Amino acid sequence: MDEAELVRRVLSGEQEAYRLLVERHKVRVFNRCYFILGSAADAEDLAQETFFRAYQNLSKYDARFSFATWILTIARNLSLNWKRKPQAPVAAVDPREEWVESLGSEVPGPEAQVEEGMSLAAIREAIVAVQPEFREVLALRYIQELSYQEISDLLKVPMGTVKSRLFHGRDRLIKLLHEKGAAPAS
Amino acid sequence: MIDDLDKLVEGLLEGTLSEGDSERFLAHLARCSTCRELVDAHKTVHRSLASLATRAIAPMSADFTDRLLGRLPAPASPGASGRAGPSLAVVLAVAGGLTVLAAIGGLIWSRSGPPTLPAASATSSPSPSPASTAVEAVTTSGITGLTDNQVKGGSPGDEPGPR
Repeated sequence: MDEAELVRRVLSGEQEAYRLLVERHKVRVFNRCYFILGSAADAEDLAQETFFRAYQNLSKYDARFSFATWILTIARNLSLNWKRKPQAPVAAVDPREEWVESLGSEVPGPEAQVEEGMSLAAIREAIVAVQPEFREVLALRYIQELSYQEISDLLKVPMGTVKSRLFHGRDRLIKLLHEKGAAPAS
Repeated sequence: MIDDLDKLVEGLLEGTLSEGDSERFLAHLARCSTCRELVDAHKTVHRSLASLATRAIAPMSADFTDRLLGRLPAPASPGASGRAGPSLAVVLAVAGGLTVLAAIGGLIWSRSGPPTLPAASATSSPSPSPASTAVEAVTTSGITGLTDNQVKGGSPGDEPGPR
């Protein structure tokens, strides 16, 4: 179903239509938050907050743009704001966090997905060690699926810088993965 | 290694190299194992990162969506908020206007005394005007928050205003 139609249904009081929007976009929103926060628990909290705020402000959504662009922009802004603020100490360790921390061990996680010799778990662990300016461009390109021009406009940097950051971001990721024995030689 | 490797690799991955650049770069890769390995590694990471548009980078709670929907406020019935706003505003505006009118009338009454009436009606209570009836109705319902005493017999000093 067309997303503008789903939004219209939600605004007319059909809350279940929002379930479809959430199901369609939750993975990308979660990944977007993770690229900024580097923690699965925090990323899930911020993803929840993103969809909650979007619901509250759904009447402001402009259907001329894709819903993905709108919701991912909210996710990015909320995550960046959250990261800037001093955080209260965490009361309890989220079990998923313990699991993430165990990724460096020899025992693979239960959902380890091997892709051409590189597991998703290894990428997850390595990406947080990539410099933020490179990580941001990688997220804008691969998760938000923005064009070079859109990234250039958003970050106010030349398009050549965008391409260079993408290359160096991937290059850094390759080196980190290689150090962990999780990447093909480069 | 060659110059502008970053732009060439980026162009190759995205398919944006010109035909000439693409041919020259591929010819170089055929001869240079260092560059070839680097491009292969970038292709692998490129594909893995591109998959993140559809795969969660870490496990998400199975009840993510249900938990979210449970937090959302219940949807309002369509048009309900549109009706409530104007009607309340109209009631308050009418109540305020009538309150002021009643206070002015009371002030005039206290300064000039009761009007001279025919003997037959002098002993009877004046019948309430439609305006004071409306004020009573509004104050009784509690919308303005004024007591009936404030509206009917208040002195100019405690002239109530619309709230």
